[in-house]
Amino acid sequence: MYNNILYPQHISWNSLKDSIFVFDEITNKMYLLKGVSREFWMLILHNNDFDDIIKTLAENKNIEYSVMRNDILQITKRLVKNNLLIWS
Amino acid sequence: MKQEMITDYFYDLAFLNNTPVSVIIELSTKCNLRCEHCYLPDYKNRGMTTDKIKSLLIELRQLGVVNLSFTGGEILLREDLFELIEYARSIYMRVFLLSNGTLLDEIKVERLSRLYISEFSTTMFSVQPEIHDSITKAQGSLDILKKNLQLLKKHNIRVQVKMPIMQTNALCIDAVRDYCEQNDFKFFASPMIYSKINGDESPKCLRVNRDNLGPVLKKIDDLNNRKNKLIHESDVPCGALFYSFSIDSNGDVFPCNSFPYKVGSVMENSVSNIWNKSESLQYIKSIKKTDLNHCPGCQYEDQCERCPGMALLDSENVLACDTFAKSIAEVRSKNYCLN
Repeated sequence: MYNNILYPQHISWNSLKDSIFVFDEITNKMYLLKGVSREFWMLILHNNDFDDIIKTLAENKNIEYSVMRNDILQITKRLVKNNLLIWS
Repeated sequence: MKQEMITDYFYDLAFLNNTPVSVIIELSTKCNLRCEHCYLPDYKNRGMTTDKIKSLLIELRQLGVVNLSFTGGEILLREDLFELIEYARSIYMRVFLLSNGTLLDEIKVERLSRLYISEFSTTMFSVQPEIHDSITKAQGSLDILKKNLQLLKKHNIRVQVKMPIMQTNALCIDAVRDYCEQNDFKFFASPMIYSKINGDESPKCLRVNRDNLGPVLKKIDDLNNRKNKLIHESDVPCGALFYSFSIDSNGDVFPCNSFPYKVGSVMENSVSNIWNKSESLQYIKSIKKTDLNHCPGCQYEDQCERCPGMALLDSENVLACDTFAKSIAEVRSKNYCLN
């Protein structure tokens, strides 16, 4: 079971105001992240531990850990499916 | 969301938040070729040190820059090029390389591929060696370029081929376009040839003759993708000035690498200070289309792709007419006029 979540080597990204723009350098596609997806993305920059990130997000948003975990798992699945994040 | 919409949103946000998202860094002016239309007046400057450029990259990243273009001279003459690309990639910047493409080899291309650069941009004047090589002043340069472009293709690196169109290669557009299509390379052609940045006007005599300009423009208008204007671009002479700038080999900062109007120096000031506080840059950004000397009321205003940098080079006045852009607009207007 993987517990660390990482940016893969082939992405670039930028934070602009309330948005994150992620660039896939293989496909040349650009993705836009907002809201909790954006906060999740920013937290990965400082800590790759998935559970730690969920805890931080749950605390910041005052939401139950299990609810936040479900939400973030769905977001992560989509990001992993598009090769924008990898489990390690 | 459609890719174009995300891209437009990105640049609109950059403008609205006064964030420079794109920067061009000239790594040196040294070059192994001597292309006759080149805007550089000399080829001697070795550029900033590795450490200076690395610290600049950190500053740029903190300021919001993500699109980083390395240009020259010839960038592959710098021994630390890969170290710099690696550094930029480690802080998640997109790296665009502008090179004449003649100094690559299998090992270098493989390294570039592992670094996931965004694009390798190069220049091809013709698929006929006698024409291409006569412009680069280097015999064999086209053959080497084509061999290296195949290496880039083999390693799945995106390539853009730019074709400056002059009188000598005006009949080569279709062949270069076909070569690019066959190889899945992006193609961009332009007849905009201007003075060197020190004011030397000699490259201007290489421009496509007025008689040939009409057919050339018709051809390239069909080939090049014309982009819609972003939200801020309708009132100002150049929209790119609001989200990008350029740093030359000396560390001098310009609104763009073809806009020789110094707005600061990274040797004397932080990038953030220059971007946010340089009075010269603020003046350039404050200029509206209505402030221009000749444009308001000009019958070609709508078709004209006036470049303020080129107007400055042309007449030493940033508010003046870009006469070549105007003549292109005039020809374009005749090309598409039905009566």
